Amino acid sequence: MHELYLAECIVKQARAALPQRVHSINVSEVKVRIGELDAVVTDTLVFMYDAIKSESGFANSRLVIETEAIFCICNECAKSFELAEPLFMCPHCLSTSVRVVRGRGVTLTEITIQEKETAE
Amino acid sequence: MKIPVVSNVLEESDALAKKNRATFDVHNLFVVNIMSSPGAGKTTLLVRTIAELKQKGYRCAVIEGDITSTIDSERFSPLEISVVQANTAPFGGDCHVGSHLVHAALQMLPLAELDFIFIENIGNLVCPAEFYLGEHKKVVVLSLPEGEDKPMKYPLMFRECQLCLVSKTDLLPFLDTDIATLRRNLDLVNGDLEVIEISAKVGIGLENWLSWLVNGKSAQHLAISQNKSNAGITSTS
Repeated sequence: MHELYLAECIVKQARAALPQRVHSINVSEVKVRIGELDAVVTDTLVFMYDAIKSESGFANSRLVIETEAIFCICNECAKSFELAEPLFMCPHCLSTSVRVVRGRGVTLTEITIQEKETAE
Repeated sequence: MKIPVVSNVLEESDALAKKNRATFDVHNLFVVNIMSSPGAGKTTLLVRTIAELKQKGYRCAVIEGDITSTIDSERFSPLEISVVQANTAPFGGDCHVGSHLVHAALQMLPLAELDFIFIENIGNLVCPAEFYLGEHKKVVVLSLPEGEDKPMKYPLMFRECQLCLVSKTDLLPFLDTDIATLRRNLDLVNGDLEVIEISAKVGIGLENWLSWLVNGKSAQHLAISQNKSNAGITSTS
């Protein structure tokens, strides 16, 4: 259950990414991309984010999660393919020596600031 | 106003892991992160492994990850080695050992007097797979009673590791688990994963595992020497 830890990391990264004049309380949305391979329970992550956002200064924000499908490249035939299920076999040559090139990791992708605050 | 960002959420954790790795390499240590479900036999395996390595003249230490308690740490006491207990309860009961815990543990170990450090992660096939600690290798212990389906259910763990130790093989006559099916499932999730069948209790596969460790340490030492040598050539040319 590493969703609490991830929520804390998201808040830290979001704070570091804010322009100097913008306060975290004016952030309305924090968007992250999560690879399907990461086995993050997105509902739990949102729950954890909501649980810590007030004490972290992001009380007016909501966490938006987009998931990223798993893409691999075959080490044998060099062709790429998307995984529909966790069977890491190349559909072209049936090799199981493949590397994941997308669908792993948690990335902060966008922060939205409330318009009326930024107009000041 | 929308601010586009591209930043790894685990940036801070990864940066600390890289510091850990630099410390390991300065001291020529080989560091292995051992992961598994609770009860797969990590501690039994490590006690036996370290006793054997000690006989071969290698010096070992353990960073023992648990949510709470020192039960596992105490099992190493007959070996008279350095053990640092890393409990996550003071950090909110994290379900994995983090790079900050390893970093703190390193301050308590006699690094210049060691060859191997084993990080015994918290029993869990999900969360520990997510985090880089600076280790040279990740190893998953999968015990036969857990069944053949675990690689499919926890693919990240089996993708992240370089070696799977299929443990408790002495129980094979009493179980329905089919090793051939298990090996096929491991291959379907990670065709590059090495597999060693082992029983720490009766000693099956132990020599293969010890060779894997010793060879891994030698290869790591060679890689560091070559890097230093290349850096020397670059700086003088």
